[in-house]
Amino acid sequence: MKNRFFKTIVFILILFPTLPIFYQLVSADNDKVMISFKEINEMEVIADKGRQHYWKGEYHDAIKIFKNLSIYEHPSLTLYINELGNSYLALGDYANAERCFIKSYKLIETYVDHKREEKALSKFGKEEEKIYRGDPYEQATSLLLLSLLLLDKGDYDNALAALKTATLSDSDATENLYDSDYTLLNLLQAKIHLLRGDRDNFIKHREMAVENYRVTHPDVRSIFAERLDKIALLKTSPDKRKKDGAKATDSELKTQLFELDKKIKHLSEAIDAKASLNAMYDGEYNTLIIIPTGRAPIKVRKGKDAQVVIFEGVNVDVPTPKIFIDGKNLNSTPITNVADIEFQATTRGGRRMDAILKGKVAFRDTSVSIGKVLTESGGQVGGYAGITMQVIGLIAQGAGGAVTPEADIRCWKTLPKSYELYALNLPEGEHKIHFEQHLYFEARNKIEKSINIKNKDSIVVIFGIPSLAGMYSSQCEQEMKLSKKDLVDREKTEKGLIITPPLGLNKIERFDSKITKDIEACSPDVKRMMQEVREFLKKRGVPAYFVTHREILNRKDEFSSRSQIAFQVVLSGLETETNSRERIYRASFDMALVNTSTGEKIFSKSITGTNTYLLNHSEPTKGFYGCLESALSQFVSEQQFIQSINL
Amino acid sequence: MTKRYFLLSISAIIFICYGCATVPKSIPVEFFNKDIEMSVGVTKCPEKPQFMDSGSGGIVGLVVAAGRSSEMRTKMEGIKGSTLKELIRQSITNKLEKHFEIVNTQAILSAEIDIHIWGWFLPTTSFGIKTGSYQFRISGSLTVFENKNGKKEVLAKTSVVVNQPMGNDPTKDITQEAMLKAIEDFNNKIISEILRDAKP
Repeated sequence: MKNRFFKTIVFILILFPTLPIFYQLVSADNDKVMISFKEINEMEVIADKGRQHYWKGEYHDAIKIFKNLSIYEHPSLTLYINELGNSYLALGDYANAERCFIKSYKLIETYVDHKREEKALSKFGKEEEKIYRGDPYEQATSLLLLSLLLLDKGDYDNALAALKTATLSDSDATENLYDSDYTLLNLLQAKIHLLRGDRDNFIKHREMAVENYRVTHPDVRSIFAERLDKIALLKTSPDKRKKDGAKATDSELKTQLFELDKKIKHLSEAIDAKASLNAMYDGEYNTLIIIPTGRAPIKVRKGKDAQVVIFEGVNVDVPTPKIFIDGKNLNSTPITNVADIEFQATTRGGRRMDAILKGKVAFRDTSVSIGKVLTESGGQVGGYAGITMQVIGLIAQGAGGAVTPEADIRCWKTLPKSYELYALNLPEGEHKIHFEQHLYFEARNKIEKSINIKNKDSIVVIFGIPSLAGMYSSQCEQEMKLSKKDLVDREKTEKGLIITPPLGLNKIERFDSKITKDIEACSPDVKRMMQEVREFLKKRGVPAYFVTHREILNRKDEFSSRSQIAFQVVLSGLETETNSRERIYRASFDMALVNTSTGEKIFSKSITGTNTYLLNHSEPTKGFYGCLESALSQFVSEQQFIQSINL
Repeated sequence: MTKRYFLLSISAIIFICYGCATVPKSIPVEFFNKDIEMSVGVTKCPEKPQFMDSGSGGIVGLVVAAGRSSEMRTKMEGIKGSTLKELIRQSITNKLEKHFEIVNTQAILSAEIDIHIWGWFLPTTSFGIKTGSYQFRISGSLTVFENKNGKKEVLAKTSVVVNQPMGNDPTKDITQEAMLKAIEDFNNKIISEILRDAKP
């Protein structure tokens, strides 16, 4: 009897760890190549590298990566096709971009894998295993970009169809909980109707666009969101409301809604949509310039089981490109708040997956709690019954631990924070449009496009270059405050060299070793690097002062008129090598002296600084600053540096 | 009678000592808005990350934890105590410089951060069976000293423990992201506590 009982217990204990294997076998889909969660994760790591290239303006490298990720069918294919399309767009390759957005649309419509969906929804499946289709804002933006490309080609019918589908994607068509509030979708539909001579539909869509513009305007959006919350609360049952801790009664809610409606009406009337939408209101434009600005928020996991998704803004402020038309600087104010991706991403209705994830967490908590009680009680009961209870308790706790409630955080990370637009009415004929992106004082990514305005009833669409957000150090997210000493120093240094914050730095940088795979991490301090540069230059008789990230963005012209030259450093690589006695650190920097007025590089050089320590005394942070000093020493010793400074 | 007096005096001493030992959690209001100089440093921080679990796993649990600990070190990819120290110092400096003049030399005030423990935490039960998601944990304290006549007096002290979820399968990227978020969370909590009396 005793033996039989123990055999049963041993059998259960052996069987338990093999359960996931059985689960995998049962759930495998024989018709399709089943890509594992690990592989999907690995693809995301590779995609992140592509995204880094994209935000640094290295579009060819980004295209290479996203192309490789889009060869065969897998759950994240739609995402990478969208990002590939976006990279082509940045490069000005409209034909390939169009192909990508069409493929993305087709994939959303046709790529289905029921087994995978079931697995993602099950207690032990991972949400990231499901096929990525994108949030409504991602689907709508993909179709918006497609419609703009079709509009440029003169394919108005298909552009209109894409815009209508985008509007549907952005609204809750199944439960009718909310309508689309993407202003640009309606503005473009209005324009197409005007081009087709359909004045009634032009006015209809323009009015819808004005309504969208007003409710999503920064002055109104928070009150409008509050109104939606109240309506949602009014729709919930009294029991649910009580459970959620909401105390307001129906009549109180109705009164609050009445007050909010009055407020919204008052604020909306104060918004002059006609003036703000400029030529887009009348539809009298033949050239549309679209400028992507900043970076869209990304999804991150929250909650004790990483089961909740929230959007987190990427907060480094970056400049928008300068635009020249036929050599003249375009000084008009852009149309804003019509394609605010950040707003669209963060204000959608509740996700279907959220409720399911909450269910998974509840299952985990319940299983673990029951398991704990059984294990503890089993210990007190004793005997066979006690042991059985303990074993069952452990199994229950283990089952709880095996639940995977982590939320899917895949999202389109190469989208901008918003699109700014210029709706222009250019004279017929050839025109040259020139974009110039700046990296602090240095002019980068200059792109020139030739357009031909044929007649009044046509439209040309031009996409500007995305910001170089990936080049600015992530430490610049937080505002840098200069000390009193730094400020006094700056005042004293009348016409010195401007030291900008170093570029291309991550919060954590790694010294990689190609031979030993011995990686060391360090966290470079932007301020300390600037101090090192200043002290180094001072020692060599070159007066220099600091300018912060925000100061360059807001007061660039002021500093340009004060100092002719800026010193800019970009970190381009770190490496380490170890021998039996020493560790050698190597850091490569792109150093440049930039003309603050023209943005041209006066003198630039890629330099590798080296620093060696005895094995027991090596420290990556010290190693990094040693390399910086070594690189600086090489740079200032160059004849061209001395000549440039003297000029 | 003597015994009663003896007990009473002992109690009084305990109460007085306890009162003296209770340090306020925030910097007194008179130190704000005067651009007082402050130095910032992380004084203690274990060089190696530590793997922590619920601790009821017994010998089997220890063996399992050793495996998980080695996995943690791989996923840290070169991140050591010195990296964490520098990240915390930079972030704390950035937050404190809005209220004080931060200097690298000896100052009137000095903020010293002690990191007691950092690394992965996993809720477990007997035999090291996992019952929840991995978390990145940082536990530490911040003490602000006033330097008077070459002597350091404790002005305020606060301790914080933060956990950042990493899910069931933390990768290298997830670990790094969680660590950066844990640092931000740790600093936000500790700074909001220590600057409670500062006017915005």
